[in-house]
Amino acid sequence: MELLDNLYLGATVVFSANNLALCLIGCMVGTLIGVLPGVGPVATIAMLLPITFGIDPIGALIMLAGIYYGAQYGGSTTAILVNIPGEATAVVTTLDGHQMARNGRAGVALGIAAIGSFIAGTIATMVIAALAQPLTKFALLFRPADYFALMVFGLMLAVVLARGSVPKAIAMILIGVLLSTVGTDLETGDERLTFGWSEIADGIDFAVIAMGVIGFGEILRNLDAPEARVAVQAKIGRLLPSLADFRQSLAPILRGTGIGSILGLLPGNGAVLAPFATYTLEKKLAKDPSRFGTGAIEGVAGPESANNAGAQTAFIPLLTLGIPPNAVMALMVGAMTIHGIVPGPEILTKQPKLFWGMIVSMWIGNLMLLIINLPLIGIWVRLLRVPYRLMFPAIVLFCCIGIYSVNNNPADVYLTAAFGLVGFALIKLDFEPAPLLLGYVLGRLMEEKLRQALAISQGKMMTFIDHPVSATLLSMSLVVAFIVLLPTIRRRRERVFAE
Amino acid sequence: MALFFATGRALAPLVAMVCFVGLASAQAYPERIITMIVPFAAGGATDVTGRIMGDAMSKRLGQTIVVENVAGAGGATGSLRGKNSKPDGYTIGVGHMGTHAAAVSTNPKLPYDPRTDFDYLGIVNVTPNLLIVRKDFPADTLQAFTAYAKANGKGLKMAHNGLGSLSHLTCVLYFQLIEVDPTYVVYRGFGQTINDILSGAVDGTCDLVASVTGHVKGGSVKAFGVADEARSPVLPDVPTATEGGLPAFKVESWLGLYAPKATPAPILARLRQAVAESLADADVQKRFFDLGGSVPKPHQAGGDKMLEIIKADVVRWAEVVKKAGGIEATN
Amino acid sequence: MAGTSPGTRLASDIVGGLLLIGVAAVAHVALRDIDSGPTSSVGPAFMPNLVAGLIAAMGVLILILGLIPGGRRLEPWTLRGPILVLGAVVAFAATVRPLGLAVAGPLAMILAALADRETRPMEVMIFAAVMTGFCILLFKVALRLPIPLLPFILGY
Repeated sequence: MELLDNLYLGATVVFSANNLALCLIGCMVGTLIGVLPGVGPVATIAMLLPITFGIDPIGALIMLAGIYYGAQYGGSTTAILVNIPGEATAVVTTLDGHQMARNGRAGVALGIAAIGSFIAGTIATMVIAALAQPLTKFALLFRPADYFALMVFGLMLAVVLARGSVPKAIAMILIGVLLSTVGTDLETGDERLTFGWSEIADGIDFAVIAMGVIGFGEILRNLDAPEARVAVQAKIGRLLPSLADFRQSLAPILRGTGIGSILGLLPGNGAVLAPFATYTLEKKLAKDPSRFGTGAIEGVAGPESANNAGAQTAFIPLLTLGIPPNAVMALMVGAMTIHGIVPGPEILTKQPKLFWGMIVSMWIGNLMLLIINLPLIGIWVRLLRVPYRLMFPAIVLFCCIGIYSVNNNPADVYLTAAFGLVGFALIKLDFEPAPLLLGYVLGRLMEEKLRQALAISQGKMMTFIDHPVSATLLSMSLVVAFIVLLPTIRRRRERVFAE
Repeated sequence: MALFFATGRALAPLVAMVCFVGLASAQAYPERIITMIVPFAAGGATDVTGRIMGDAMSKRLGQTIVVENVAGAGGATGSLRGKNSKPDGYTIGVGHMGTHAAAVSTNPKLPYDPRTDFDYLGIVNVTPNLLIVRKDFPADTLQAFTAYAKANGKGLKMAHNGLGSLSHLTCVLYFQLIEVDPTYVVYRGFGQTINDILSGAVDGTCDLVASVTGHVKGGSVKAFGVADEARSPVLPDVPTATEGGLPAFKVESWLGLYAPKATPAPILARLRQAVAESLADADVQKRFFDLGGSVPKPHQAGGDKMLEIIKADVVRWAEVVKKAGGIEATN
Repeated sequence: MAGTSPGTRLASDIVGGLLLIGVAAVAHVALRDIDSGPTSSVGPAFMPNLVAGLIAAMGVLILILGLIPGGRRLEPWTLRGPILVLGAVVAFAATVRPLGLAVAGPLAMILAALADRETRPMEVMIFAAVMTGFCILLFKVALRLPIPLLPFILGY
């Protein structure tokens, strides 16, 4: 019953005209910046911080939180409509979401993404409310060695992501990992693979690679093959998912919510893995895995739900331990400190109004997002009717502004152009870009955790085996490797012998 | 649109002239938005301090101050942007003990010299550093910790927030003083460091009081060895290094504001005045206190004092780095 | 997918494999001065070198598979799209700080639009002006991003 009292306390905080309005503003701004390619929640929250000076701290945090999970909703819109993933978590959505749009099912894809996100947000909020404290212990269970194992497991899953050739997918993952090592080494300061160019001494930003390889690559492909793009615009189809669509998506939504909620808890930004893991799981569970990559609704519903669930549970390490699991949460720490709230384990006991107010606001915010986003679908889908000759220069402009705003640095824009060329070459040579992005996202964390683990164990490799979490994850990676590689090897052999 | 450009071009000299006249008379300054360059990501201690000052100063200057985060190369990217921007008072920047003193020794490719390339507006915030260790660490005092470190050497696992970071420098200084060489585990920023201290994967770290206040107060870590003459008013229960028998361990991290070199004197005076007035503001003082820092003491305040402190700290960290056999190229 | 376009006889896998081997070789050479670390711990060059090695191995594998007849042929491509679209992006990067969004925006849009043969000049000019105005309102006024607008006239 204590839980109900707490939720009631939270509700009294949220249901003031002021805080409800702030929550709505946050959700709307979040949706907007999520839709804009490149302009992420980090840049926006940073710019909005000064505005929150005048607001009381709880209201300010409610608004900023709204921007964060609102951006997760909005990000899927761009991924589905124009195949540009603004965030690492939206990469998976481009796979089947954009294919659905090409099949004239953009409205259905957007609808199921919004509904799935809402269900996931609701469940994840309940999980936080009921289990935040016990789950805190889980968050601290992972040592660097375990994170390393988790990243290895994630890279194995990335192979499953691919629909074409397995060696090519592995090559793409490796290129992604290689790209993640570019820049000044954290431990020794050595400049790696920067070729003396100081602009990449801090590494290459994710948005630069994602927008170049996938976003610009897509534009160049469309310009190269004018027949393909006409097909997208001819078909608009229905605006909302049918009952059959929903029935097909319910189980993936629930599974995605589960995976996302768990991985979101990990302070080392485990949430980025959630959509990939969900996609892999759905592809393996599907009766006909070949549908994936051509517009399977489960490939949108599951990962989108996982994404949003992870975005909600990522608040647990922040609110119960004072650990920011990702860049946005680090900004939330900044926002708290500006308002004189010092993040740490005391928030729950000393600031119950803040803690429970935020949790209740998250559910209200998810409801608002559903109400905002469902009517917007009609507008988004209509945008697809804009002739491509006008649409792509506009996308180019939005991307340029977005990338510039990541670090306020024109060098990032130059680099994105270079990666656009890479993306075009990959399409022409029949390589898939999604595994590259996953390799990039996981690669840096994997290397850092490997070196931290070996520093802690003083060089003993046993550290990866003598702890149950890492041992389990590594053996699961082996199993996945066999599942993936065996059929391929067999098929190749048959093919070679048949020649 | 062609028309728009034609008019724009025709008007350009006129507008430029108006701007110039505006600049020439300091009364008119500031007549548009001022940009404050923060050389680190938004949300960190440097960013938050900069924003609090920006907010307070904009009230006094009657103009908005917009923070622009230009992160990279341990603060060198943003500071270089600050050095190269037009010295017209419309760009100012934030620098600290790392970017504007220690970096001279830790970064051989530093593209600026903090001793000559900037006009300083003054230090705005000081916070002492201290040691924190995991909750179940077998030492409660600095003496006991020092003894443990000497007995275990490489067995002691100290985390820090990246090569050349303030937490790294503080650790290097401390372990130089007690002549121990521990194992360093390197993390990307404080968020990751504190995570592994809470989970017990590493033993501890050295950092600013401002960064760890919440965790020390919440009892999730143990703290000792505040590297200052007196205990920190934010953490009155945490003993100083002097109390712990190591008076030589003294590190007070400072953070200040600068304008590019050759900013006109009247504008510089106006900015310095705004800094001084903001620091006298009770609300600013309270905000800094809540964060674990404080406004500068009288002997640290002002632009000239800031330059003196920078010159002294450049020498000091050069010695520490030299003695450590070089903290390899941080960039 | 065994379409044989005229003039392109090379299997795409052969090109892909060779490119991968090239990337690995460049990475390996670029890393030659950096420490791989003692066996007990991992140095800064360990991971990139290991990955480069694996990339080379994959490149060889893909190359060999590409030598098997019947693979996909390399499609012909035109350079107009990449040059103009990516040129537009480069032009934006070069002009955004000195000249501001009000100049860089239309410039990038018009250059990019030239990549498409269907582009109508007047329409694109008007659309570029409208979109730039919209972007200024959106990014500069509403979201307050610190992006220069027209620095040589306005000073910001």
